Amino acid sequence: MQLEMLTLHEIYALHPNEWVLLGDPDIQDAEVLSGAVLFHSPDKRAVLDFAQRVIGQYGMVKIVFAGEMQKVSRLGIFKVTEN
Amino acid sequence: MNYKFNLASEDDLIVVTTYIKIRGKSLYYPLSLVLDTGASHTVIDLNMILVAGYDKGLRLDKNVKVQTANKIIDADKFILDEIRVIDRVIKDFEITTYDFLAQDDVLNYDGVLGLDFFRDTQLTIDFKTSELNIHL
Repeated sequence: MQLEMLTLHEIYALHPNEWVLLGDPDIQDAEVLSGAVLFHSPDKRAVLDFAQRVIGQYGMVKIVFAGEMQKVSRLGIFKVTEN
Repeated sequence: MNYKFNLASEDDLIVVTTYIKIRGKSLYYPLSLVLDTGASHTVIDLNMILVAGYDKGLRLDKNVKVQTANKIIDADKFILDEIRVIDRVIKDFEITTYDFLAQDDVLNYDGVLGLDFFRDTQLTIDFKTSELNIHL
């Protein structure tokens, strides 16, 4: 079955604040431009587990978060999380 | 060749696009690693190594401790077939790896690029121009 390639903008709109597994993504300079959604979940572990099961079926899989991550600042080995 | 970084959009960190060779393929997998001149070793999320096609069974028979922000955890060693940042390419590069998620490290970055990657090079960080350069 041919999976539909979606742009990152479309993926963000369809699966807001979820971890999304993409199959054979189009990547330029490490930036994901588009990909076929293979799985999505708010639970990153579920997405990672699924990725490891299907990775052999694709040339490459990539996981993206469809939202804004909490801002994290690091000072040496100290980590400060801003709420 | 210079690498442009953007502190403002990357949590005030220098995030470097790093490519690792996918095991058994002629493809390179892009990772987002934070440049950390305070880190002696390069540390990458085990989950990303596995998603890039490496097998857990390839872990070296070494157990190491890693000091993170607030604890010391057990970690493993892996040999990457090849790692590349800008023009700097290292074959058979040993990295430290652990499961970030299992340690509640839910980050938008895949790990830390430590000093071991820059040995025998001249690394310059120009904050005026937001450019990173590795002189081989």
